Amino acid sequence: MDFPSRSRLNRPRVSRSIQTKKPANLLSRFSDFNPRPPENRRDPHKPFARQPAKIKKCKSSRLRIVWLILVGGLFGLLVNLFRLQITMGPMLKQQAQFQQSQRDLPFVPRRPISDINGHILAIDKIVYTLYAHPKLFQQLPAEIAEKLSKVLVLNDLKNPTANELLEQFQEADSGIKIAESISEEVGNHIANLGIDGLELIQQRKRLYPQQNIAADIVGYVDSEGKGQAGVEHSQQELLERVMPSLEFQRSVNGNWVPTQLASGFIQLDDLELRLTIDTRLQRMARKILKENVEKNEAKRGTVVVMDARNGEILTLVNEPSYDPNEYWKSSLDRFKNWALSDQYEPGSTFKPINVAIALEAGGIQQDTMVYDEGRIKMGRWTIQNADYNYVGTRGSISITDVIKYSSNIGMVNIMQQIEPEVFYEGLRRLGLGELSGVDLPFEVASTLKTRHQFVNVPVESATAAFGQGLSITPLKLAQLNATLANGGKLVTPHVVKGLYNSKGQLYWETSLPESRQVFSSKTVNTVLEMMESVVAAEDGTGKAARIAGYRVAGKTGTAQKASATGGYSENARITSFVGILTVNNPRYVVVAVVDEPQIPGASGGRVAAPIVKSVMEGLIGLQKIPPSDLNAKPDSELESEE
Amino acid sequence: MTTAYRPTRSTSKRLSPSLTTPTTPGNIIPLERARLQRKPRTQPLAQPESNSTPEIIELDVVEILPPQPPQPLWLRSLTTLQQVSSIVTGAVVGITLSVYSLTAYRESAWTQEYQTLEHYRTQEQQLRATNEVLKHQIAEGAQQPNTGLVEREPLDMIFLRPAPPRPEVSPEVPPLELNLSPTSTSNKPLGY
Repeated sequence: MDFPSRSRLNRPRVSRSIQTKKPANLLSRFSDFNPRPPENRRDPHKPFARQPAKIKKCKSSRLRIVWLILVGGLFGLLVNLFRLQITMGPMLKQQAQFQQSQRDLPFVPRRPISDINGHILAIDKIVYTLYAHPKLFQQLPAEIAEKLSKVLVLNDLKNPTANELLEQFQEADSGIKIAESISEEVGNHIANLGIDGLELIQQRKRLYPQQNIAADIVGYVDSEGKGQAGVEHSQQELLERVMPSLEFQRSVNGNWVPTQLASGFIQLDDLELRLTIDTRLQRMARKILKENVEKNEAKRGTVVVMDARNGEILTLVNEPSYDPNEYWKSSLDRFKNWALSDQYEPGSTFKPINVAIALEAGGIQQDTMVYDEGRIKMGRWTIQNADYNYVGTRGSISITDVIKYSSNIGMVNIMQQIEPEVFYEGLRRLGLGELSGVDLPFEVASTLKTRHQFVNVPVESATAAFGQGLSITPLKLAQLNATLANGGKLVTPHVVKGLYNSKGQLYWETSLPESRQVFSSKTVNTVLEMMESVVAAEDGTGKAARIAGYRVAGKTGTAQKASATGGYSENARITSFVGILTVNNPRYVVVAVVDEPQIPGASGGRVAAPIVKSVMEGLIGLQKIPPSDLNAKPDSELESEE
Repeated sequence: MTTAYRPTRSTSKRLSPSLTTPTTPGNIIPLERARLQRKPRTQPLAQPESNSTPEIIELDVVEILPPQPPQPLWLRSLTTLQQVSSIVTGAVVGITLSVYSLTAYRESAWTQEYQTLEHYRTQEQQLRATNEVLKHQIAEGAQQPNTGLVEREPLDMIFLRPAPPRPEVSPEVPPLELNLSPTSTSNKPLGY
């Protein structure tokens, strides 16, 4: 302190002097305990030198206490650390993970199913299940019941009364299921009430907006999200979208943040499964079939419309059907789609196919005449025409007449022109005894007798000539008749077109087996013209399917049903009709099968042909098929229109 | 606010008058002399506690620093390195902080956007479903007999025969020939 100065050189010294002053100040704080003379204060080197021994002792004991407290505290901390980290560690870690992270599956809807025009046939929607936990109620249960009864709408569109809800609340302390499948709107209303003790669990539910219109093709999804029938079952892997569940962690500000982003998570594809079904035609066909099944007091009926060029099924309707939104209300047998899972003996509808086989094999020609005895005996079996009782023997008739009058004996005589081996091989080539390959579940293969039996037992090939003794499904019948409408190709029937995005662009297409040429186009054109006479001729069996201005080919079928006791049932019949539109430009095959119509004199021509006619009329309107004679007589057409 | 401009002087200019021009010897004396002068003055003033007098004395004595010896190259390079690295460190710290804050912000923003996305998705789904249900209801309603709607019959439709392709008409009028005289084209703009 000898040269207090502002010069830079002396500054370190000044600062040092301040430092030396500090202990003095500190000591002055303890001046009560340690009074010292002022001169001692200025000497920093000997502050305790002259302290008495008593104070020293006191100080050391206090130090020891402090040390003990500190060490004790440290030890306590160590013990607690051990307890938290080692003993309770795993449990706490688990608890923290549970609180700070959650696995969440974002709403990943099953892909929608749409028809050929993009109308949705099946789509996922969000529904809620409402649970009540009375032990968490912050208000009186009566109040909650009152509030809830005003907004809650049950599945049957009724509001539960407050008393009903109150009774439900008394069932248990927690976890009472109040209502299921609550719509999102009602769910939001309940959430907005903000009542403690009510819990809404989000679920997804498959909605079928068209109800039963396409139920036989689309099928349904059960409560576990698994398709159980129709396309929902057979195309499960196309419809299901898999997405890894996301793990979220709670961030500092309390928000949930995903720990990692799964690839393709944000860009959820917008693909939908498009079917070949036309809902408009489907709706029309269902209405027509329903009316006719009721009118004829039939057990059931089916209509199949197929595009013969590629095997696309435009319509497949079974009646009675079910509403897939409430599938549990229907009986199980309605889910199986009997158009492809039940066989029947096609009867006369099979005759044109046999004629095509005979023509193709060269056994007959277009102008071949056959003799129709009306009734023949083969071994112990008697075979006769359906109209034998009032027509008797027809005599020599053309092939066209055999088809037109649906003569059984004529068919037997035609098919005897070729070897049973060749006949059998022809049937095998058409895929009889095999599956048609349709992309719908539960298909049953058609059945054919064994080769040995067919070749060696004459009555087998004779009955097969008019469509008895072999069993096919209505869908297989449509497939076989499609060969007559597309120049002789055996196409694979299918309902799935492919996966399309929301802009209607094709993303993935079903690959179908190559169609197989089974008949020559000359043969099928000949047969088609023969079939036209069934509808066009005044005495044809299928004149009920006639449409003015259009050349329609068709064939009726009325078969006795095999009875459970063996042989054929007398009363149970299965009537069917196959129509091909149009003869000059064949493209569409319409098959109608009505099982066990109860009206007297029920036949394919009376029961099934009107159905096919109505469906064809709808088809003409939807597909804008021009009349057959538009080109033939344009002037008269124009005049009549004017 | 007014800003005054103060010309900056280089260090060499600032140092040079004090070193080279001994015009004010009364105030500025060399360091050696100042030390010599200090000793005799402090010696008789044997009052260490009162420091008022030396301060007064010191006011008229300005010590001159010895010329700074030039710093060695390694020191200068180290100093430069230190300055550069401190700038770099500052920048890195700044960037890190901003990146971190952005990341933290992104997380919360992501969460919010994700919720919005989910909301839109469910809404889209709901709208599509409602739309289809309405379509079905309209179609069902149209089938009721009292609506006055009739089903379309094939004969109700009018099909027009496509007109036969018209014969190709040979152009009778010759195509307009451009007037290529320079007077007419010079006034027209050739293009835009």
